[in-house]
Amino acid sequence: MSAQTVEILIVEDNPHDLELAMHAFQMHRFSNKIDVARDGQEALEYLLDCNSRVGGVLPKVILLDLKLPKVGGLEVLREIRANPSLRHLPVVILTSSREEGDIVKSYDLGVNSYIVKPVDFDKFVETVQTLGLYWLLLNEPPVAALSEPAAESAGRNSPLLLARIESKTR
Amino acid sequence: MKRGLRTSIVAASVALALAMGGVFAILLLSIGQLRASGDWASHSEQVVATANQLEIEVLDLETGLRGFIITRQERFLEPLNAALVALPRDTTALERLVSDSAQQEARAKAITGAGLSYISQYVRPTVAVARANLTKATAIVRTGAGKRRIDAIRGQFASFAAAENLLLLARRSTAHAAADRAVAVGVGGLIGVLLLILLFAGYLGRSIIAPVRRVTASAAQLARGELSARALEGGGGEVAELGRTFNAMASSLQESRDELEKSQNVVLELQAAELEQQRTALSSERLRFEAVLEQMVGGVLVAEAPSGRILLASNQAELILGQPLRTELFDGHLPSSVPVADRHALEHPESPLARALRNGETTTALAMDVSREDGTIVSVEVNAAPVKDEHDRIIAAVVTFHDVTDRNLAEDAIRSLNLQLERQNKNLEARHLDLEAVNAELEAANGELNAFSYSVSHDLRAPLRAIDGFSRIVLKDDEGTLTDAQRRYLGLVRDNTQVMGSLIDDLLSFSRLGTQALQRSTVHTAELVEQVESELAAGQNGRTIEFANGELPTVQGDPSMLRQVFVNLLGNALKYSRESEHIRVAVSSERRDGELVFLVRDNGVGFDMRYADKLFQVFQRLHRAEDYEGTGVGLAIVQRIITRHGGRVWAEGKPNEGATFYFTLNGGAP
Repeated sequence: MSAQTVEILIVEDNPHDLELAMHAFQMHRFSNKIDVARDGQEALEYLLDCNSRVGGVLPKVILLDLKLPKVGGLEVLREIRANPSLRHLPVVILTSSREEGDIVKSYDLGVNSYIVKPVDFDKFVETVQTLGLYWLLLNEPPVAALSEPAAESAGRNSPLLLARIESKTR
Repeated sequence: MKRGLRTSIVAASVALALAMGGVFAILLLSIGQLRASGDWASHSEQVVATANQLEIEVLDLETGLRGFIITRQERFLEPLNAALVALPRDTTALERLVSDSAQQEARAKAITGAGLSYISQYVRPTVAVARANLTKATAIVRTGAGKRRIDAIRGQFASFAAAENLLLLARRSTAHAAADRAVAVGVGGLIGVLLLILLFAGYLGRSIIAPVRRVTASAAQLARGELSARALEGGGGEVAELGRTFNAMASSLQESRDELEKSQNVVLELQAAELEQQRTALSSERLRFEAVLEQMVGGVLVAEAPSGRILLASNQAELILGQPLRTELFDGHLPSSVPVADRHALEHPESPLARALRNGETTTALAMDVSREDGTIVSVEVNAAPVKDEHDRIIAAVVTFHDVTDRNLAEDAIRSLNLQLERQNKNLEARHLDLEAVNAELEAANGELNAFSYSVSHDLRAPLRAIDGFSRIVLKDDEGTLTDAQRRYLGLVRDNTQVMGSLIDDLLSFSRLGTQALQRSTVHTAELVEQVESELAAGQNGRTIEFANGELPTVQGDPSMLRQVFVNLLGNALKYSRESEHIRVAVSSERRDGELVFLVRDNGVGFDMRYADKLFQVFQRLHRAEDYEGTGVGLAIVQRIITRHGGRVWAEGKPNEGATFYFTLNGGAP
């Protein structure tokens, strides 16, 4: 695996939040393995594109905000779980919302983790460091489980998925 | 006697037949003998007759010869010639006749010989001499030779006849003896056969007739119903078998009858019990019926068809109609000229009762006015129906009616009330429409509030994070360009973002309490308080705290909300006691005027009762922020939760003498 391999996909629309997050990752030298999507649609397109490339590798984890333009975070999570080639992808909701409804819905849709962004930047940095360590170093990614059904079903499902995304964006 | 009866009878019959056959054979034999001896007698007579004939012929020879010699006339020779012809023939016949007896045959042959020699040696020569020389012939006769010869022959004949007679006699006596024997045998045989028949009859009587008669008698007894009758098992073979079979049959008959009687008895008992039950049921049915009849609000009348005679009338019927009804009201005829508003209206020809009796018509809820004997008029509602038997004939009619006078009055009242109600209803409907509009507005407002809360939760924190984050980065990346004052200010910026964050969190949870539904369940407050205390104690940096809990009951309430109440009250107690040397917090409960009251007491800084009403207001604080951190929302949250549980919360305290917070959970005055 080369240094250029993307290991984290951050889906975040707020530029300042994004900058702070990138800063935090930089402090822990994770920044060269990170890609960013600025809304839900972009995130889904990114993932499908990633998936359809021959030998394409999915990120090890997605950090997903809930409140996003176009396609919301919960919708992105739903699409990921509904797509046979993406459904094993670890998804971590990283959001400001402490609403019980959001937490319950996220777990209902099969999220791997739900983190509330701390207001305190020091705590935020600590959180980012823990996340990176955990998902990039400790956690075993679901590569084996994704092998065959992923390649097989990606082509079949993506047009449908894209069509749905298009209709939502109109 | 094990031999079969049939075998015995056949054997006896065969023996009888053989005996009779024997007797008959002997008789036949004797008769044959008798006849044979008769035959022999006639045979002997024939023999004697033939011998006599022969003797005559011999004499004829002599006389013929003599006459010829004397007369010389040829005509005397005729008998001689005839004898000459006959004699040989008859001697042969005689010989043949006596061939059965050797002696007589010898004698016959001697006679034949003598006769033939007489003819040949004397008659023929003499005749021939006589023809030639008469004298000479006379001389010959004179010699007497011929006479001697004739005498000899005659002697022979005499002995022959005597012998024949003797023979005949012997034969006759033989025949007589045979006849006597035959008679004796016949009589003896007959007696024997008779004896045998008697024996047989006796046997038959003993071994068949008597047992059969006994069986017959027993059968007759049986037929009369004496099932205990049994035949004596006598006789042999099939008859004994018959007796045994009969007895077996009688036994089984008796058993069957006994069983039948038993089951009949059971059935009878059951029937009796059932009858008794039915009787009880009937009488209780009647009691019930009467009770029902008397409990009915309306009156009930049952009248007989076609007379119209009242068979049954309930108390109510008499009360409503105001007169006794349980006697015959009218005699066989329905009154015909009764006005409608009359006490007899029910029996009027066109009344429901009359129509039900006459035509089988059914009337339902017919309103009528009936005048009572005392002159008052009662309004009734009448139902009538015919009662029919299985052949569809009308046998009676049932009339029920109830007093609707009061009801009619009530109905009038109801009608006017209804009108009023309708008017009010219209008003209410108008108000309802208003309320619906208000409600829709409220719902919209609530939705907006939720959206607002969500937005606050999500969007207000982001700028705070940016402010705090970038301030921190500036401070971190500072390489001596910032003054101490600038560094302090940036620190203050960061502190205030923290306060702002807490305010947002508290405000959100406070506003959520207004909309969140209560999830009531059983809450063990003792356990809950212990949990909260241990959690809070963990964050107290090693200070020792004495928790002194009293009796804590089990209550109904929202567990997470009640938890929040104890977290906030105990958190406050610890916060405002932290200057105390010995921190003591006590949670307990007690009954005050029948109401369950919870107490949370601390030995902290307390408060001035003058400001007690401000304690539970949002953002109201009795202490300066730099002394005790906080947003002023905690007690407001407590109050909101307690209020939502239908309870009240209040507090007592004095400056520096601690504070006590009280709350109830189910409303009511303390």
